[in-house]
Parts: sequence; structure tokens; C-alpha cells
Amino acid sequence: MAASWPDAIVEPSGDVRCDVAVIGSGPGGAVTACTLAEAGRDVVLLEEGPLLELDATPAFSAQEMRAKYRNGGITVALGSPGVNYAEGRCVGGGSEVNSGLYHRTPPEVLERWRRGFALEHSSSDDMAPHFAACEQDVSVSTLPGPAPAASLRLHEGAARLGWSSMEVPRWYRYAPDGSGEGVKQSMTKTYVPRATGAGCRLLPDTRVARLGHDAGCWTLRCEPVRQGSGRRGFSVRARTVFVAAGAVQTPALLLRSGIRRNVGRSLHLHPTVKVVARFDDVVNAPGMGVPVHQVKEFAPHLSFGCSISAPPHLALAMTDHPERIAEVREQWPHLAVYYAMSDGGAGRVRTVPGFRDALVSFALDDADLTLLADGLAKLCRCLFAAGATVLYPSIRGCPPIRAEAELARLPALLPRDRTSLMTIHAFSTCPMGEEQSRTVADSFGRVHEAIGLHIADASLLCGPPGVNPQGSIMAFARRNALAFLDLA
Amino acid sequence: MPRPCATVVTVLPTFTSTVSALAYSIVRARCADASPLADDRYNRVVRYVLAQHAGMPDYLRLPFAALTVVFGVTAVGLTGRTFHALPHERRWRVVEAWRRLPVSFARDLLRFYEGLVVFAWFTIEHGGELA
Repeated sequence: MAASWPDAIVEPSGDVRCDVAVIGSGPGGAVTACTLAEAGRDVVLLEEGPLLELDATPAFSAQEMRAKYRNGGITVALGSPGVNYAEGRCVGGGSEVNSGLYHRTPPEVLERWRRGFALEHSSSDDMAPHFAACEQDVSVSTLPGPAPAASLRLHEGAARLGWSSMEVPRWYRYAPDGSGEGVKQSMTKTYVPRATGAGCRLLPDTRVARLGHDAGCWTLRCEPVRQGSGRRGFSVRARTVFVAAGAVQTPALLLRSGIRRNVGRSLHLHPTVKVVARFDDVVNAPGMGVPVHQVKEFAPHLSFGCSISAPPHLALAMTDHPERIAEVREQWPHLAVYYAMSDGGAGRVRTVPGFRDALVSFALDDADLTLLADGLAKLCRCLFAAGATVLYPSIRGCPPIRAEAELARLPALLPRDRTSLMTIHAFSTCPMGEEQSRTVADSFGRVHEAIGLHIADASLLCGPPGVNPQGSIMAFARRNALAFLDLA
Repeated sequence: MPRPCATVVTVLPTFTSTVSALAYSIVRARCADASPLADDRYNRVVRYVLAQHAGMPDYLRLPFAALTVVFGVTAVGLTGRTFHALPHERRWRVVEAWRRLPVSFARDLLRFYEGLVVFAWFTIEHGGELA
């Protein structure tokens, strides 16, 4: 394993010293480690999960969930309704397991963050060079050939309604033959090997239990993750630490370390409700690929798209209609999963003494559930316009919807006890800005009143971006790492 | 002659046997017409479900295990036999009775297992691996 970078893996026999420790190797941590290592800094990159090649497991498979997701992909934000969420836990983090869809942060969202959080130097013009650099580094590009049929159906439905819809580019290096084959440009294909190539030391399978600060230096108390590996706990000492463990683990680590002001209090997600659509003709096939179209007519508060729709995912999406699951066996080429994603609700990340895992809670008020219900109804309308014949929303006890006229049956407010919600986007647990009453870090990710401690992941985003967040995470990480180099 | 407390213990369902029986029944009801006795896929699904449960966040793992055992106890109350000792049709009546309870956690528990089981079964049916 890790044949590409065998020399970068550190098996510490004792304590480790470095200039900069980066905790977490997802998009924020990988960009930070790479930027600092290529500038000549002595960097150690720590990752709780294992180092696995991108193709070590099939994409979006049960094996991948077991190997590359935290808790095997079974994590939930408690609430009514609860929201199932997923976090990558491997070298490369979420970039290894997501669809690779790329957006810049919308200008109106950046403006909202500037006004609400006094976030400085963050206009679209300020951010443009960082977006552009990251886009080049991870080969952001559109499909060289036709999109999957289920994806195109959504696009066609939107066009018939006169709604804005777009092909979302991916970080993907496509083969030049136009076949659509290629390799996702995840962190293990881009920034992590660049970082290690510049001298960064990589410590996978290493959990940072807590941070301490004394004599102008940070101490990271580390535990090996794999049982029976023979490794023992050790410490990493660094003058500067970037925490980039994700929107749940970053606040959890800060809280465990006694850093509490505003930490974990402003979790945002993109709560998502799904619907399975059946078409008369074939829209699904083995190896269908990643759907790339999103309907943006109602952005940033609502977006619609098509999900991975392999038979196991279809069956899972049908569990709110359990008597129909058998239909997936015969009909799956005619079925696909679609989603309506909103930006409502707010939650918290807490640590509870005696428990290793962070406790995540999330609350959606009636207005949030009304917005999502409105999104679901609009999505269903779009799917009927696309030629769908039956729709199965993720609401237990909701009868299948067979015509647009039946959409009135959908609840105007999603029922709290019968709606299944999920998300793969979490952020804002340590927002940045100069408005100190509601932020954890300044405009460049420096934690208030904690010299040498920085944050570099989705935690920093001041609110829901309304789009897939990896582009925002990478651009802010690059901007903040360069600011650190100017100041350091 | 067994002591009374030992008798009580032997009729109490265990977590593992309840999960196993529930997974078998969900597959039979939702996914397959094959006989469990002739089909190793059932056991692969059970191992997957148990492994996924073991990997859950710690604050969820124990409550889910306890609730699963309570589910098994419901069968003892309704039928006089443990859930895993019932034939499929009677197990499914217990499942339906549990599903009708006016508390969301009962439905959530069944949805949790149903989701894991059907995801695993369809993975196997379409040539995928679970571990």
C-alpha cells in the first residue's frame, strides 16, 4: 500500500517535532500542507484514517463505506427529524469518497458572510485567484461526452419548465479519447503527494486526542488507531497547528482541548430529501457514472440533483416504501434517485465525557421543513416534466405519486416523524471573521486568542454555501495558508 | 433441573440472535425468494449488519443494542417464544406489530435494519463485496 509515497509515511518511535502540524488530510488539510511544504516549511500531516489508494475499493460501494467513512457511514445528527450524515475518514478525507462536483462559492454568499461576520478580503475578486489555482491543480473540467441518462433527464425536465439547470464540473482528469474514462483528482492524487514530495511527513492511522500549549509550542497528544499495530501513544510538538479535521471533528478536538468560545455552536448542513423516480424507458445502467446536472433555479436556498443510483442505493432509498423494494430487483434500469437540498436549520457539536465520538444535534424549524417540502414538490414537478411515471418520496407512509395533479398530496410541511433526511455537507462549526461575538477564528482562520492555532476546513465557512463546498474549502485553505506564510 | 434464574436467561433474546433473525426475515420479506438454508448470502448480510452496528458512534451503539433486545423481548411477550425461534411468518407479524407502535423510535429501529439489510443484499446480488 502507498507504493507511490513510501518514504513519506512516518512510523514514529518517539515524539515528533516539526514547524507546522496539520491535523486532517481532507481538502482543507491537504491544500494547507501542500502550500506550506512547497514553501519550505517542515510539515507533519496527521490523519486519523488509513492511507488507501483511490481505487482500493469500488466507488460508492459497501466496501468503501466500511474502509473510508467514519463509523462505516452510519452517523446521525440527532433531532426531529434526525439527519443522517457521512464523513470521510481516510487520507484525502471527503475528496476520496464524494462525487467530485465543483462550485466556486457564489458571490452573494460571500457578500452575506462579509456583512454578517465581518469577513475581510473575501469578495469574489479577492477569492478568484485562489479558486483559479485550485481549479488548475485538481483539473476541474466538464464531461468530454454525454452525461448519464438519469442526469440528463433532470436537465431536460428543468428546460421544459424554463428553469435554470447546469452541468456541474468535476475535479477529474478525463482521458483525451473522449470516452469519459479518467481519474478523479482527489487529494491522494494531487495535493497529498505534492506535499510529501516537498518533504511533508505523513502520519496516517493517527488520532489526535487533544492539544496543549506551553512555552510557545503546541503539543498534540496522539493515539494510534489500528489495534494491535504495536504502536504506542506519542506527541507531536509544533509552533503552529492547522486543524482541518472537518466540521464535526475539528470542534470536537478543540472542545476536548478546552478551547470553547463559540466552538461547535453554529453547525450548518445541507439537509436533503430524496425521491426515487421511475421512467418508462431505461435511464440507469451498470457503471452509470456520476450524475452531473443540478437545477439552480431556486438557489442558494434550494438545489436539485441526481444521486448515485446503483441498485443498492435505490433499494436503500426505497426503505420508506418497504413494500416496493422488490420493484428494484426487476425495474432498476428504469429507476433513479434524485434529491432536493436546502440550506435551513442549525445545530451543535458537543463532546460528552466518557464518549469518544462527538455528539451532533440539528434542529429544523417549521419554516425549514416547509422550505424542504416546497423543494420536494418542485423537484417532483421537474421529474414529471422529464417523463417520470411514478415517484417515491422519502416520507414513510406517503403513497407513490403518479401524476403532477397528485402533488397536492405531498405535505406542505415535511412530517417530523416520517421524513428521512440526509446530507454529506457539514460546515460552520468554527466560523471565521472579525465579528468576535459569533466567530472562532479571524478572517484568515487564526483562532482568537490562541497564538499559532489555525483552522483550515469546512468549519470556517460562515454558513451554508448552497453549493457543494469542496471548492470553497480548498480556496479558503489556500488563501489562509498564503496569508500565514506572509505573516510567519 | 434448571434453576429458575437460568430458565429466565435462556428465554431472553440476545442481541446477535435477534439481529440475525431480523436480517433473515427482512431479506425474505423484501428481497429474495431463495431459501436461507441453501444460501450463504443471508449470513454475509448478517455479518455486515453486525459489523456496521459495531462501528456506530458510541452514544448510538449501546442504545441501538438495547432497543434491539427490547424488540426481541416483545416477541416473547406476544408469542411466548424468542424472536429468533419463530418461523418467518410469525416473526413478520411481530415486526408489523412493532411498526404500528405509536413511537417513532420503534419505526426508526426497523428502518435502520431494513436499510442496512437491503443495501447489503442488493450489493451482493449485483456482484459487490461487503468487506
